[in-house]
Amino acid sequence: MKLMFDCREMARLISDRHEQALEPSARARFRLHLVMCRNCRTVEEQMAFLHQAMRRLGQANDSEGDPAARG
Amino acid sequence: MTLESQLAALHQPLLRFAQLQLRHDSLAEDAVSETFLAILEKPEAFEGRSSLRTYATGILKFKIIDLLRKRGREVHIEPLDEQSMDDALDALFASNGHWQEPQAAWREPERALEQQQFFATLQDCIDRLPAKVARVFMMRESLDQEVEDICGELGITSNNCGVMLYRARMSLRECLDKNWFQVQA
Repeated sequence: MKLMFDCREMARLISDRHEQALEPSARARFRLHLVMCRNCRTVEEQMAFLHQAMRRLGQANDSEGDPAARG
Repeated sequence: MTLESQLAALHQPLLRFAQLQLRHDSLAEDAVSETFLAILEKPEAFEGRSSLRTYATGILKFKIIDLLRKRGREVHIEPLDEQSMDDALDALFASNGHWQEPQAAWREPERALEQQQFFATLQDCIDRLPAKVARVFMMRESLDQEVEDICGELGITSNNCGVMLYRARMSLRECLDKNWFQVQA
């Protein structure tokens, strides 16, 4: 087992975490990489933001008006 | 207000919602019509449990999923589009697996969520995705379906599903970065 994931592997794992929790064996190595890699932290934040934006886009239609009007 | 007039007021917003998901005007119209028909045929099922809008949107989501499922069997993969998407993804990484370029953090992303124009940009970015990738992404992120259900409906493996979601997210990130956050800076 490699000590660390590379950034390419991390990007895929960051995405996968939106569907399911990481394998227990991968968790510590995933966190280790994030601690050490600012780029991957940025990517993680941006994918989380994308998720939030998609929720907003969908929710606007469950409640009132345009997404932006909800503040 | 009568049920009819309440539904009439919901027509445009629901239609927009359906078009967003289906990207097909007459299919979207069908989905909304079927939703209204279901409500008018059984008004007692609603009984003011939630807002009519929430109730109707819930039904509409099922209709859309149904239509996507039918269409999923008909639509063919567009290898060219997905290929160019893969190439773009590959270009992000150096051969050692590190990012080719530093990933710039977005400034005040939460402010974007207050701007209507941002959502138009997001929609444009989604529209640029290859159809099948966009469909998987919308089923997951907008209709909130579980991956197993999505793969089952589209007849793809769950790994393949994961790859498509990954591609969609990476590509949307790039697209928002270029077309929104860098422009705003």
